[in-house]
Amino acid sequence: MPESVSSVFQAKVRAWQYWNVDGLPNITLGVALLLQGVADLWDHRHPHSILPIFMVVFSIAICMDQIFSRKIVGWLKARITYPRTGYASPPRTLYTDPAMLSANEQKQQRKTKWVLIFLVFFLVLSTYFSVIYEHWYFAFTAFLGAGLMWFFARKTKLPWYLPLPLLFCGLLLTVLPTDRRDTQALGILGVGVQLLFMGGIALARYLREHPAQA
Amino acid sequence: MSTALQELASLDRMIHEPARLMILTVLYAVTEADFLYMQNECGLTQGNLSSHLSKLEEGRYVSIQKTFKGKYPLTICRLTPRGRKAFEGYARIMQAATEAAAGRKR
Repeated sequence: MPESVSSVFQAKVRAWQYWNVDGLPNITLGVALLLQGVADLWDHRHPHSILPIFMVVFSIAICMDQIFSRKIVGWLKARITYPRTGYASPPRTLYTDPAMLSANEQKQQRKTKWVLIFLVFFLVLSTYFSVIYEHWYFAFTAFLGAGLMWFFARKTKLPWYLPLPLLFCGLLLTVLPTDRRDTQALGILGVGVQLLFMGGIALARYLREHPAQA
Repeated sequence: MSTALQELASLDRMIHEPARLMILTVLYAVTEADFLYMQNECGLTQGNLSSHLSKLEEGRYVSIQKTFKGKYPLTICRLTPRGRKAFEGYARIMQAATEAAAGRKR
C-alpha cells in the first residue's frame, strides 16, 4: 500500500520528536517531580516546616507552565535549541483526518492512540491501587515501566541504561520498609529522576551532534 | 474514469509543486516554525526556500513574521486558514486518486 502523498502524520511525529530532541521538556518536568517528591519526604519528617509549601507551589507552577504556555521550556530552548536547529512549535495533536492518510498511516495512528490510552489507564490504575492498597503496586509499576522502556530503547537504538533510575526506584520500593506516604514520595521522586536522566542523556547527545556555531 | 481520478484536474497548482508541497506539509504538522527548521526539514537551499515561501505568501497560503525568542531573531512561518483549507483539500484529492489508481491496478 502506498504511503499518503503528503505524509502529514509522519511530519507531525517528526515535529513532536523535535520538541523532545533536546531533552529540555523532560528535564523541566523532572525537576518539578523531584521538588514534589522531596517536599513530600521533607513534610513527612518535619510537619511544621514551611519549605515544602514553597517547593510544591514551585513544582505546580512548572507543571502548569508545561501544560499551558511552555514559557520555561521556551526560554531554555531559545538559548540552546533554536540557534542550533531552528524553532518549531509542537503539534497540538497527533490526530490527522484519516481521509488525508494512507491505510498504513491510519493503522499507525490507531495503534499510537491505543498505546497512549493503555499507558494512561495503567498509570492511573497503578497509582490508585498504590494509594488505596499496598505499596508494591508502585514497585510493580516501576519494574514494568523499566521493562517497557528497555524494550523501547532497544527498538529505537537508545542506550540500554536508560531505564536504570526506574529499576533502582522499583528495587528501593521493594526492599525498603516504607510507609504509604514515603512510598508515594519515592515513586514521584523515582519518576522525576528518570525524566531528568532521560533529558540529560538527550541534551548531551543533542549538544554533541549540534555544536554551537561561532 | 472514476470521479476520484477526474478530481485531479481541480488540483491546486500552487500546492502541486513538490517543494511547496513539502513546505505546506511541514507547516500543517506544526503550529508555526522558523526558517532554519523549515530548511532542515525540507532540505532546500536558503534561496529556494525563500522564493517558494514568498510565492506561498503572495497566494495568502502562508504568513511570515519576523520576531525574537529571547535574543534569537526568528522568521516565523504559519499556515493561514486559507492555506490550511487548500492543503487539506489537496491531500484528500490526491489520497483518493492514489487509492483509486491502486484499486484499478489490483
